[in-house]
Amino acid sequence: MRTKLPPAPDSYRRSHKLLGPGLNKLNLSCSHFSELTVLSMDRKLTFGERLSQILHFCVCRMCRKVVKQMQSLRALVRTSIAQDKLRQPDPEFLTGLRAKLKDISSETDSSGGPNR
Amino acid sequence: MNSEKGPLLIDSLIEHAPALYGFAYSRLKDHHLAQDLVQDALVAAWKSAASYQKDSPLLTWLTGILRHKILDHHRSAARRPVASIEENETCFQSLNGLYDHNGDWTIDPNHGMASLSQSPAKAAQNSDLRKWIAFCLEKLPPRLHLLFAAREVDELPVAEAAKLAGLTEGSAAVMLTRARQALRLCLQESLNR
Repeated sequence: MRTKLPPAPDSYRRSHKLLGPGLNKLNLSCSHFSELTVLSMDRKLTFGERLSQILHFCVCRMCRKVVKQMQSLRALVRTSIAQDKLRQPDPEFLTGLRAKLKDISSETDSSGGPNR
Repeated sequence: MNSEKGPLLIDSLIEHAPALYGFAYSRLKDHHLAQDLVQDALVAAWKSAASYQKDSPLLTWLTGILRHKILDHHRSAARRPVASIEENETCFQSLNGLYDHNGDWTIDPNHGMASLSQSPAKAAQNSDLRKWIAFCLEKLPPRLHLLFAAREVDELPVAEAAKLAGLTEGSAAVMLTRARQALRLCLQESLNR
């Protein structure tokens, strides 16, 4: 179902053919690194996790860029949602709302509500 | 007719309505629904005006009520009191097969992503990226969107964001990490179309 993203570059595949199994055994794989990268955005990593992250960061050039991507993604999400917050409701909506609130106060007034 | 209740005025509620609407819209992406829920929230606030503490900021109090209304809406829409991770499984399906059995990338995670590899500030100003991230955010299931926004934009701790989205802290943590990866992938797929 993937929209034709190209496979990993040759240089990566060559080096990871050798590195991959070992990294995986040591729990230093690219997938584990990605997991830790996103995890670190929600909680402080344990010492072991941090160490694993740093070691992978040193050996894998491709994953280094992924860290940058995740930071940019966070900035993007924030601006995108902040922009939505600037949208305005319909003016009629505000007039209707005011009328509705006034109705409620007069109802509670006549029923001897808590109004002063 | 009385437009004053305890320490509150109708005017001050109406004054905050646009900000509340913006908040609701950013979480729901639906103009009419956002207006409806803001109305529900302000009516509820007005009815329980007596419980408002004068020394706390009004907008914070109102936003709290609105959050509950949004959550109630999601609850009734899902017809389930607590969402499970499986509920969002379709959204995360795209993540399958990204890595091989050794945990190595099967795709090139950097292809077409140069604009994201610059500084975060530059990326946030890129209108093309902004268009696509809005598209990808919209694809998140509503409850996950709520959770994600509470965490990313309001910068609430995971436990609090989870409570707001009606989730346990454990499943919220899992969903957040998957949501970030799914968003990254969605953005990459969109940029390589």
